[in-house]
Amino acid sequence: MSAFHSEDEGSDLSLNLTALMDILSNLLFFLLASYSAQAMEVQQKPDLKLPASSSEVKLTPSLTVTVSRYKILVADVPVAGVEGDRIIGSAIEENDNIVTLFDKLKNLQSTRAAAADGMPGQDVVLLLADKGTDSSIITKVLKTAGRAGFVNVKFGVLAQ
Amino acid sequence: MSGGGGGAPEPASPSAKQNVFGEPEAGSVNLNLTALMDILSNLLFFLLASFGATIVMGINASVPVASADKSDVADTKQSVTVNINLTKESLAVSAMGTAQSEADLAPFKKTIPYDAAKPDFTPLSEHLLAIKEKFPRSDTIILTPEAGTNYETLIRVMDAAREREVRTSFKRTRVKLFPTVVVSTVVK
Repeated sequence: MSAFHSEDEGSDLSLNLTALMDILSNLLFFLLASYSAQAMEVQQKPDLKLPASSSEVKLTPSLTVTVSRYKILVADVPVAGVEGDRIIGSAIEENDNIVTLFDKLKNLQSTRAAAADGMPGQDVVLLLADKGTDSSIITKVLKTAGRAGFVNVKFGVLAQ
Repeated sequence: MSGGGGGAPEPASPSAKQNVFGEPEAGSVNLNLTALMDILSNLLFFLLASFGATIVMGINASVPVASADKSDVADTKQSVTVNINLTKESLAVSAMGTAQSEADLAPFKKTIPYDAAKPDFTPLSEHLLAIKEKFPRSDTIILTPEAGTNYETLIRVMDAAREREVRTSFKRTRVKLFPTVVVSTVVK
C-alpha cells in the first residue's frame, strides 16, 4: 500500500491518444498537401535576399544560377566570387564573358543537349540574385549565359 | 455455451460476455501508439520547419542574340519597341520602330528623374500606358541598366512595365503593357 493509494487502485495508467492522433494526422495531411502544391521554394540565406515582385508566373525547375553577395554559383557549385560590383576568382574577357561561369554552363549545356535533344526548356536558366547586386554583374552573368546557349532567363523573385 | 449436441457442456462462468456467435468475447485491447506518435511528431516538425522557405515566382526575360534575319525592333505601324535606360539619376524612356518616322516617336521620348534618389515608377507606368494606347500591338521593352543601378530597381522597372491597373467608372481592369523583356547593356 502506497502512501496515497491503495494497491488495488489501477497501477498502470493508459492515456487515450486517439484524439491527439486525429489532430496530428489532419495537420500532417494538410502540410503534405500544401508542400506538394507549391511551385518552388527557396531557402532564405543571409547573403541572398531576393527582390519582391508582383509577377504571378510560376517557376518550373531549371538550371539555377545564383548571384549572392559573395559568390556566383551554378546549381549550388561556386564558380566565381563577388566583391561589391566586381567579380573575383575568374577571368573576365573583353566581351564581359565570365570564363569559369561560361565553361560550367557550356559543359552543362552540351551534357543536356546530348541527353535530351530538342527538349523544351533546355535554353532556360533561373537566375536568383540578391536584390542589392549591381546590375553590371547581372548583365555580365546574362551575357555569359546567352553565349553558353541559355538565351532565356527567368528572374526568381519573391511573391508579394 | 456454443452449439448444441450431446457433448459435455463447456465450463463457462455465468458472468462471461459472449459475442453473436456465442464465443467468449475478447478482453479490451489497448494499442500502444507511442511509436506512431513519435513518427508523426517528427514528420510534423520537419514539414513545419520547411514551411519557413519562401515561395519564388518568376519573370521571363531574354538576352539579345545576334541574328541575321530577326530583329527585336518592332516593324509594324501599330507596334514599337520601348527602350528604358536605367541610370543612377533617372529612367530614360524612348520608343523605336522601323515603320514610324522620327516625328512620330519623338513625343514618347522622356526622362523621368529619381524622386529623392529613388526611382519613381508611377510616371513611368503612366508614360508606358500612353505608348501602349498609341501603339497597341507593342509588347517588348529593352532594359539597359547602367553600372551602379541595382538588381532590385531592374525588377521594379519590369513590374511597372508589365501591367497597369486602369480604373474606369465601374471597375478596375489590369492592362498588359510590355510583358516581353530583353535585358541589354550599353555597347562600350
